[in-house]
Amino acid sequence: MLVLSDVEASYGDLRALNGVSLRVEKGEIFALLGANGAGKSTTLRCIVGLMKVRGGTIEFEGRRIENQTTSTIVKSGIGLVFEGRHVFPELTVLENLLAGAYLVKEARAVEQRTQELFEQFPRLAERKSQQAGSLSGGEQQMLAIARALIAKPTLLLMDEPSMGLAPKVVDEVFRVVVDLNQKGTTVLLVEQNARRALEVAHHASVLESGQVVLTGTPAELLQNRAVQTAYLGM
Amino acid sequence: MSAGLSMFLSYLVSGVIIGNIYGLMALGLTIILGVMKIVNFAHGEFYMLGGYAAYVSSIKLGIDPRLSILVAMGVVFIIGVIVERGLLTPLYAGKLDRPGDYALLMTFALSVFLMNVVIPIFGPYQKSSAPLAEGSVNLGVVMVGKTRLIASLVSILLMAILLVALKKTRLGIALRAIAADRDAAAVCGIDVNRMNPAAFGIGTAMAAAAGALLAPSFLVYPACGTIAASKANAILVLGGMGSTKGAIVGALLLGVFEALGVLFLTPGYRDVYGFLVIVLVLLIKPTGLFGSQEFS
Amino acid sequence: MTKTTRTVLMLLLAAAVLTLPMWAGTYWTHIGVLCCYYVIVVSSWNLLVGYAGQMSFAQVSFSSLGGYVSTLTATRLGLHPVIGMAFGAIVGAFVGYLLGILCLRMRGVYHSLTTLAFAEAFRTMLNLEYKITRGSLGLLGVQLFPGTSKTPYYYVGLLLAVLALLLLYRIIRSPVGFTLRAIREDQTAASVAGVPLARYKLFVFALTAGMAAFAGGFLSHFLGVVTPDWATQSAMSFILAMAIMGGLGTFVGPIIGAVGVEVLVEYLRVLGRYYMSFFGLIVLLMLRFAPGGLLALFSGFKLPTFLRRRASQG
Repeated sequence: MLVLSDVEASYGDLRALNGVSLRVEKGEIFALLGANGAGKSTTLRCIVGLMKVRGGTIEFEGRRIENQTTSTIVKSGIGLVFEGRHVFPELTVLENLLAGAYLVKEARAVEQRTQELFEQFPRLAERKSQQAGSLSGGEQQMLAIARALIAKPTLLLMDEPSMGLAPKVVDEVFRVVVDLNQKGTTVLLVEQNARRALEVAHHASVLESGQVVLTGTPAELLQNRAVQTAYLGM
Repeated sequence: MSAGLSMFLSYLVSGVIIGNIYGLMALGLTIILGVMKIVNFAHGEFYMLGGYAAYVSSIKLGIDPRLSILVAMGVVFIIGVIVERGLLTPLYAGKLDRPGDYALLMTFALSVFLMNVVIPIFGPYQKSSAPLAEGSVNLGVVMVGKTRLIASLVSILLMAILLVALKKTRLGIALRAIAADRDAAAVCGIDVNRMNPAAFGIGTAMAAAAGALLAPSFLVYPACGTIAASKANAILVLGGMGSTKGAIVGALLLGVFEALGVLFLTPGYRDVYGFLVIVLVLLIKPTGLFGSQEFS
Repeated sequence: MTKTTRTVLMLLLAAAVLTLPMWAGTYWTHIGVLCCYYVIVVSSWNLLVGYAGQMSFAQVSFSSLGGYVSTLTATRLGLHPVIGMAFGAIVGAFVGYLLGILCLRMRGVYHSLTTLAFAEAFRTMLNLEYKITRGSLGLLGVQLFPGTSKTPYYYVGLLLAVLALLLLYRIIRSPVGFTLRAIREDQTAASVAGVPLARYKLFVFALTAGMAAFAGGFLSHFLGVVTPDWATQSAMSFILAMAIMGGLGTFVGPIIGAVGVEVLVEYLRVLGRYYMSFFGLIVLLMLRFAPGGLLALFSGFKLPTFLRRRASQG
């Protein structure tokens, strides 16, 4: 479904990605692991066109999407949940969802999607006229996910969804991820919490200094010594 | 009532009546700042263009003076979009080292250009557009011309329409989303770079509306935007950069400050108080009185 | 270009500049004096903006301040114009220092807004304080030299410009100049590295304002008049155009820009009332298509200018 081949990117003169290659299959949860600064977030930013790809190709459902505008890429069915959530703090919960539904042009459809999401996330429904900035971290994370889901993406990119959340909330986030995957959404999950990510993933890759150093099933990765010491603390 | 108090009140009332028209202008500045993250140093010149457009429309073409305000807004909206497309696109192409400074120098140069380009067209002398109504109204402390009063009411109406549009429409929510978080807005599918001309056009149209509304009361001449711009800038600082509510509160506060200044300092410097306000506010609170950075 | 041809060309240029009054006639000698004035004002603004990164739209406020103070010192107190110029420079530096203190508290947009508001307030004051400044009529002053010859002014102006440039060059090449560029590129990093940011910025504010004021004093004793027109945004746009044309943030650029724009403007004057709008258009196009300066565009060298286009992007 999503194929990255030798993707390169840099911040000014600083090389961030040195030829990243990934293959995410339809219907799976794919985990992208790695230390801070390994290039995980940069990879996601390249996929959605927030960062210029300086080499290599990105294919989504058979079409090249590298260096297209973000709105085109989003229109083709990719959603992103940012690291640190990035809800619009001054907008209300409802307005955040409406912004997420920007590409859905018919008012009826927007209404219906909003209702569905409010049923799925009742906490958000309770707070729909509150400013998003006043929500708790967990609620903001749910809002960020809901905002990405309202446009019905076929592929959802999630950047560190468990970061900074209480363990109970992390459980909830992962439940949501598994649930929406079972309903048919493909998920590319970037996580520091490698153990949790490998629990839910079908495949995973490890990124080190802007390159994929290891790819496999969670079982294969869990047996790898390097992964054990570096990411699982074993 | 003492003479001082009644003078203060009369300045206050007339200051607030005119002040909210500058508030409309500041609101335009706020939208441009929120979406594009630049302060438009040529905002006063779009105000001036609005004044000239109202003059041409109402005097030369004989169009109804109230309708002329809409004409001015439409004309300047188009000019604003052309300016954004022609001059400001490098800001977002990612090819400049310091886009902020580029924007300042560019809009400053634009303001000088616009100020001079109208001289061969309209001449250096003052023009006035057709009044919106005849006669005056007695407000107790001060007599106010009906034209000013109507202008003030129209300005309040325009601000209300704009605020509701920002709140309720798809475009409005998109603009506010961009102002809050550009990347997150892009990921919502909003084409953020194509929103810049919309924001710049709307923002400059607000300045034009202010210019058109004040054109019958204050005269229109090539440099008339300078004073208006300094007031709008002061309101922006007072209101906290980028807050729409702040822009409106800031306009009222500036009206009060000016009335106080006239009373305790000297009337001649009325138009310089904006600078004093900027300095005082920023010395006390460097983020403006309502220290929000986004606009909501 | 070989080294020898370059040396020969430089020598020829120097000779031409030094002998200008002998072959160029009164009119162009007059322009030459104006060029000297602009070189000082633009190059000092360049230190403030191009090197230290402190955007300011108040440079012409300081040159006109110098003009007014110097003229008033000469006319009201009857002191020699040179004393007036020195006094004007001191007042200019002091006011620049005060504006610097204001701006220190502000970052980015607030900072430039304050300088612009200051410039407007100052110009309004020049117009309103009629008893001192004679308002928009301007102030008649005292000539530095007797007689109508422009030649002595030219050589004094040239000397002042050269001295100013030497001073600026010394600063830019010194550790102070290096630190200023560090401040420009990254305020926080420079601050963490233990640089007393405030002191450096205030120094540059005061120095560049003082230099502009000194040049303004000189100009007022050359033209024999100083008016609020010196302090307008249009006047500031000349400074801006000169610096941009040559390349803001380079040493040579603004010098060439000052002379280039001043001469260009003389030719544009044939356009009559269209000339300022035409000039404004040129500035806009230059900023739009060659923000790093025309020099960088033609020489093909990548100069480390202020508004350069990025070579690579993130």
